[in-house]
Amino acid sequence: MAPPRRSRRSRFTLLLLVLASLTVLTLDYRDTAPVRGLRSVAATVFSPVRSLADTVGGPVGNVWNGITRYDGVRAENRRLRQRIDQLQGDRIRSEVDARELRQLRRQADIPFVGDLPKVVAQVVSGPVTSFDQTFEIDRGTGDGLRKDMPVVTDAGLVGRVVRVTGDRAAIQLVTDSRFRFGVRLTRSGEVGIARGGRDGRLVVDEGVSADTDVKKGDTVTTSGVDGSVFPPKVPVGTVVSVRRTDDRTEKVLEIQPVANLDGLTYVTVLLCDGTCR
Amino acid sequence: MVTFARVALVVFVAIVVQLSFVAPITVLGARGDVVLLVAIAAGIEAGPERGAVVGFAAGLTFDLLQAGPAGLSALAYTLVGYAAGTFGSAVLRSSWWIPLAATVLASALGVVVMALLEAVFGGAPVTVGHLPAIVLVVAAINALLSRPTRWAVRRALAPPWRDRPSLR
Repeated sequence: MAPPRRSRRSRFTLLLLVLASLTVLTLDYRDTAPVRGLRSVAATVFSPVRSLADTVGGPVGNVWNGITRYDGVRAENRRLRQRIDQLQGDRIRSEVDARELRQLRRQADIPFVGDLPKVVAQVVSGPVTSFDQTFEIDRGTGDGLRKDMPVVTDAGLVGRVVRVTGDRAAIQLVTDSRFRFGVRLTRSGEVGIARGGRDGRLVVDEGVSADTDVKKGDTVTTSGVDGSVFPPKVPVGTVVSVRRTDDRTEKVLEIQPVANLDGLTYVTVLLCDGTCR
Repeated sequence: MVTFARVALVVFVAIVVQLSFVAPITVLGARGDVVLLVAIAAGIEAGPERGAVVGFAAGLTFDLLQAGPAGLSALAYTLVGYAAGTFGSAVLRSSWWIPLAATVLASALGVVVMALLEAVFGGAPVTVGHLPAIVLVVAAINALLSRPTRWAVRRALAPPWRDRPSLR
C-alpha cells in the first residue's frame, strides 16, 4: 500500500491537472490567443507527420476496407460493370445532353453558389477518433481559406472551416453539436437555429414558433440573416420529424442533411467568411 | 529532462500510430484510441501520479491536433491515467493477465468518460447504442497493443521510478 504522503501528493497532482484541463477548456471556449497559438504550433509541427501518416495509413485503411467489405466490394463491382455497359450506351446521348446542359447552366448556374468565389478541395483524412466530427482537406491559407468559411457539395451544406494552415484545413461537419447556425424553412420562411443532433441529423430547437406550419419533407436552407457566416439559400436538409417543446411554445425539428456526409471525396469551400450575400 | 524527452517521444509515436494506422480503420463504426493507451500504460507502470501527468500531456497534445475542444481529452486521459495507476498500486499479486485486464477496464472507462465529457461540454454526440461498439473496439485494440506500449512507457519512465510498485 502506498504511503499516505505519496497518496496525498498524487491526489494533489490530480487536482492540479484537472484544474489545468478545465482552464484550457475555458480558454479554448473563449477562443483566446494562447490556445490558438498552441493549436497553430501543433498543426505546424504535425503537418508533415500527418501528410506522411496519410500516405502510409491510406493503403492500410484501403486494405482493411477491402477485407471487411469484400462481399460488398464484389457486389458493387458487379453493379459497376453493368453500369459501365449502360453508360457506354448512354454516352452518345449524353454528349447532346451535355451541350444542352452547358447552355442551361449559362442561364441558371448552380443556384446556391452563383458567382461566389470558391475553391474545390479533396478530402485527405477523416475523423481521428470515434468522437471526432471533422475531416481535413488539401487546401489552406495559400488558397485563400479562412476560418468559418462554408463548405458545401453540389447537394448542400457540409460544414465550415474551423482550423486552417498553409496547405490544409480542418472542416467541422454540420452534425457536430457545437456547430450552430441559422436556417430557414423554405415553405413558411420561418427562421430557426440548427445544431448537430444524434444519428447524423440536425436539430432545430430554437426559433420555430408552435404555430408555424411545418411538416415532414419540408426543405431547410441556410437563413442568410445578418451576422450569419453562411450565404442564404444553401440547401441544408429535409425535415424528418416535428414535435413541440415541453412548454409547447416552439417546435423542435429533426433535419436529415441533404449532403451525404459519409465518404466525402471532394468538397467546395466558398471563399467568404460572413461576406457571402 | 531526458525522461521528459523520452515520454514526449512515446506520445509522439502514439499519435503517429493513431493517425496512420488506427484512425483509418473503422470496426463496427468505431475507431481505436492508442493515445489513451499511453496514459493507461503510464498509470499501470508508474503509479497514479505519473499516469495522470502523462495522460494530461498526451491528451492535451492530441486535443491540439483536433478541432474539438482543447482540454477535453487531457481531462479524460488524466482521470483514466490516475485510475489505472490507482488500480495498479492496489494490486498486490503480480500476474501476466492483470495489466491486460487493467488495460481493458481502463480503456472502457476512458471511452465512457470521454462520452460523458463530450456530452457535458457539447461535443460530438454519441448515441448510447453506439457506445458499446466504441468500448469494444478501443478495449480490443488497446489490449493488443498493451504489452509493447507498457514496455515503451516503462523504458521512458525508467529512472528514477524504476523501484515504484508495478504490475509488470
